[in-house]
Amino acid sequence: MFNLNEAVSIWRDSLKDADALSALDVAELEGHLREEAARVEALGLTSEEAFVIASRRIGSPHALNIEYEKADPSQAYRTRMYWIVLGMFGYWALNSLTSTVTTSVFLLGSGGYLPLGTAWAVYLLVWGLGMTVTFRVLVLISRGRLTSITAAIQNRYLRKYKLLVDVLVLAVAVPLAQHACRLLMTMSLYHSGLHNHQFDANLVAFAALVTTVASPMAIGILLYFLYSSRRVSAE
Amino acid sequence: MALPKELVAASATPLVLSILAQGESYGYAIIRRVRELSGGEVEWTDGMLYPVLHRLERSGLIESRWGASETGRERKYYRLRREGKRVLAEERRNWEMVNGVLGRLWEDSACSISTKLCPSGATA
Repeated sequence: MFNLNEAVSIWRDSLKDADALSALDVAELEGHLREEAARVEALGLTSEEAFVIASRRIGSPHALNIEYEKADPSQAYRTRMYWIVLGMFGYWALNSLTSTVTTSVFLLGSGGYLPLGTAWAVYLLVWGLGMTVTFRVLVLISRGRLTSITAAIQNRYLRKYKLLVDVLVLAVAVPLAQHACRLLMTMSLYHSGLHNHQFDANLVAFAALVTTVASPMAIGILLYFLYSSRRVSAE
Repeated sequence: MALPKELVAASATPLVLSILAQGESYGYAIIRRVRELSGGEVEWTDGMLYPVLHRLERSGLIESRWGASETGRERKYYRLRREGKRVLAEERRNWEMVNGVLGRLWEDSACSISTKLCPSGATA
């Protein structure tokens, strides 16, 4: 039995490599696809036949990508960067949430509030669950699902304040995310009581060095992609 | 007979602007309208119209907003801006000029084939 929603989601999947299309562009085309399929179906065809005709009329992913890229070459870079940033923040947020919960449970266990066996079981369960959810969400986003959420983010903030977002991401968000990660690491070390032990000063120095080197490198790489794509669009 | 690709591309801007001059509309309706008006001779693939709309939006000729459709799905509506009206008037002058020049040339060539085809007052 033919299912239109399933067919549309397969069609959406086929556009996931078309970098020149933003999530909003895909949402706009999806509306078109559904409307054309409904019109053709009303002429007396089955919904499957109508869908095949409508998706053929809309054009192949490759052809669509070429047309969209011609109209706005910088969109391809923007799409890629937003996914990287969104993935980075998404992973970081979900990962910290999981760590917070698991660390608390573990502390309760080691503090004697919970039997140690139970604490370990809950720890592993929450950790496994958290990681599964994290990766599932990332996979869904990368496949162009969750478009209602991602399209809303792109529509409300990213498209409206394009330049501002670029600057924010480059100058503020990347180092900020790194500092937040470090702060979280330090706090969890402190709360888990490790500060009473002598933990490796060399390791901390190494972590600081990596962060210091990684920040400018990340910014440099992003800047390179930003300006190389701007140059292409100016040509 | 389908129009050549170059001509379709060249006429995309004035077509879209003219349709939007009649009021707010959205991609699917604009394509339907073009097909309707041209009797199917200007058949656009969808991959072509949307980038045209986005390009016009970026150059400030039209603006867009997301709104609800009759079915409740979100739909992107486009509307003409003042700059778009100015460009449309300019496009119109250009196309009328080309149309006028070709019209005159073809009237003349028809006239040289048969004097019956001469425009009133003109001689071969």
